[in-house]
Formats: sequence, structure tokens, C-alpha cells
Amino acid sequence: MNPDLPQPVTPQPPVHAPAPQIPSELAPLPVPEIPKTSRPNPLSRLKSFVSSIKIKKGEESPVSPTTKMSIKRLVILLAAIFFVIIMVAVAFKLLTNKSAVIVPTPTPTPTATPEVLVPSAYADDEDVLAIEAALDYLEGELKIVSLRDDEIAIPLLDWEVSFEK
Amino acid sequence: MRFLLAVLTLVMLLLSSPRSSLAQEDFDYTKAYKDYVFTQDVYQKAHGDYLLARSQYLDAQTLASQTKAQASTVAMLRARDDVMVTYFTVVRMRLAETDGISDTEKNSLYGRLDSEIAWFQAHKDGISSAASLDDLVVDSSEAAKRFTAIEPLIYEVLGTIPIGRVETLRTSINKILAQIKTKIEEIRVNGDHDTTNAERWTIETENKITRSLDKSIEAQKIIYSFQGIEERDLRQMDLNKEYNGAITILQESNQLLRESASYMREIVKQIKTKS
Repeated sequence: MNPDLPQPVTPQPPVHAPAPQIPSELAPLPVPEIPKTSRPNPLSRLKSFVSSIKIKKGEESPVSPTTKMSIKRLVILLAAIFFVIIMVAVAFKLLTNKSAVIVPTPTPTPTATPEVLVPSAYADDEDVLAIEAALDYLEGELKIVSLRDDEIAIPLLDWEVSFEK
Repeated sequence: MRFLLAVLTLVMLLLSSPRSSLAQEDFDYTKAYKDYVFTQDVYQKAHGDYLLARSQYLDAQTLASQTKAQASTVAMLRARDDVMVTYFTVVRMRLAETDGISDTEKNSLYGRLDSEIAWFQAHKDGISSAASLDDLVVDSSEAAKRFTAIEPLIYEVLGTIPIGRVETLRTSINKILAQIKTKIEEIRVNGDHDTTNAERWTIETENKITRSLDKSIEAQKIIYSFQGIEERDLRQMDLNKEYNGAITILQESNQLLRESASYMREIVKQIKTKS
């Protein structure tokens, strides 16, 4: 190839533009590779998604299928995060409610263990039973004894009689 | 004629004496208390009338209001004396029905109470319906002075009654303890039951009873100190406070008796249980 001769310039077709008609006698030119661009951020993806919605019926969507796929994934991801947040919130509320409500629990009460009493030869003794009966009576008296007799407290009377203003 | 009069008097005396003794037998604390409550009601009404008449007299200063004030004051002073008479009677009956107080002590208090009953009865009889307002004021201040002077006696009686009650309970406890000690001794001689613990509880019970007695003596000292109070000391002394202090000590004494009773219950339990 002579470097002095002008080199044929191969036109760069637009990505989505309709392919130029190639004469039948000419050999098909190799399709140039699309230069790899950096992955767009989610915001730009969302923008493109919105613009794709605005496209009228019958028009071809300007969003590529890969972008559509990633948007779908993003929506699913967001929905999953939202679901998890709701679940965590519900769980938290249930737990806090549980702690707020005081559930009465029966307090353990000490119960006297039944004493094993083996009666002695004096268990039915007449004197012992008489003493026991006297004690019963006495304990009753000790409980009801009144030491402050309010019935016979000193009467409140008016002792100040005078006719002076 | 003289002979006939003497016979008639004798017959009247014979007929009236059993009836009066029967009436005395029937008269008890409950009846005395009913009388006291009744006289208090009469006094309250008379006192209300007196206050109204006094107020009207002080405002109007008319002869009519003065006459009304005199009449209502006479009624009030008489009702007040009646309250004192029935009050002393009810206190006397309570004292009579309380055990645990020696006869000597009771008789001494009866004598003093009776003289007060007589004084207030005589004072009531001495209040003239025709007395002037100034005379009535003098009559009232006489009774007021008497009441102040006899307050120690009232507190003495009011304090002696619970001392007697605690004493009665202590006597009963001592009696039961004596029976328990006899039984323990009998069991110990038989040798068929261990009495070591029961004997130890007996000593503890005796200690409680002794402490209870000490408390009663302490309360008694306070109550007896009311006897010799002179008018000069009476002004400085708060009798009600002293009396309440004595009652608190007696309550402690009673608590110790309750504890001793529970100890005796333990002794009985040990006797009844095989060791």
C-alpha cells in the first residue's frame, strides 16, 4: 500500500442508525466494533429509562436491552430492600410492644413444707390437751384486749362561760 | 301514834331495801354508758341553745334577751354537771368490772370518784334559776376549776383499768406456764420423752413474762405519779401525753405476753411430737 495515496475513509455508521445500503458487487465491510464505554451510573440509567417511557408508540426505544435488564434488576433490588425495611420495622414494633405490655406472671409464694410430725406418747394426754385449750383461749384474749378505752375518754365540754364581748 | 309511825317506817324500809339492792345489781357498765350518752345529747342541745342566746344577748342587750340567756345558761350548766356525774359513774362501773386491780386500789379510787360525783351533783343542785348572769359565770368557773383539779384522777382511773387488764392476762399466762412446768417435770421423771428443748423454751417464756411485768411496772409508775400533782405542776404537765406514753408501754407489755404465749405453744408442740 502506498502511503502517499489517499486512504479510503470508511464512514462510521451511527449505533442505532439504519445500516447504509451496500452495493451487491462490493464485499461487505466488517462491522466496526462499538467502543466500550464506562458503565453508566444508576441515575443516568433511570433517566434513560424515563425517557424510554416517553417514547411514542411504534417508535423504537432508545434504551438498549442490556440497560433494560439492569433497570429491571435495580427495581427488583429496590423492591427487595423496601420489603426488608418493612419487615424489620414490623418486627421492631412487635418486639417493642411486647416489652411495653406487662404480662402478669405469678410470683412464687413460699409454701410451708408439711412438717412430718410423729406423735409422741403425750399427744393425746388429757393434761396436754387441757393446756392447749387454755392457750387457745388466752391467745384470743391477748388479740382482742383493748388498752385504750375510747368510750370513756374525757368528755369535751365548754368550760368558758362569759358574757363579755 | 309514835309507835304506829315507827312501825310504818320499818315496814317501808323492809319493802324498799330488797328492791334497791336488786336495782343496784342490775346496774352495770352498759346501763351506765347509756345514761352517759343520753346526758351528753342533752348537754349538746343545751349548749347550742346557750350559744345562740348568748349571741343574741350580746347583740341586742335587751331585758328579754338577757332573761333568755340566763335560762339557757342555767340549763347548760346543769346539763354539764349531769354529764360529769354520769361520766364518773360510767368510769366507776368500768373500774368495778375490771379484774386484775386490787380491792384496796379499787376502793381508794371509788372513794375519790364518789366524792366527785357528790360534788358535781351538789353543784348542779346549787345552780339557781333566778341567778344573774354574773352569778352563773361564777358557778361555771367553780366547776371549771374543779374539773381541772380532778383531771389527774380521771387519767389515773383510765390508766389503772388497762394495767388491770394486762395483769389479768399475765396471771393467766403464769397459770398455764405452771401447768406446763408440772407436765414437763412429770415427763422427765417418766424418762420416756426428751424434755431438754421444752425446758429451754420454758426459761425463754419466763424471761418474756418478766419483761412484760417490768413494762407494766414502768407504766404503773407514770399513772401513779398523777396522784400527788399539785395545781402548780399541773399547768406545766401534759397529762394526756403522759397517759398516752403509759398506754404505749402497756401495749409493749401485752406484746411480750403474746410472744410468751407463742413460746408456750411451741413447748406443747414439742411435748406432743416424738423426739
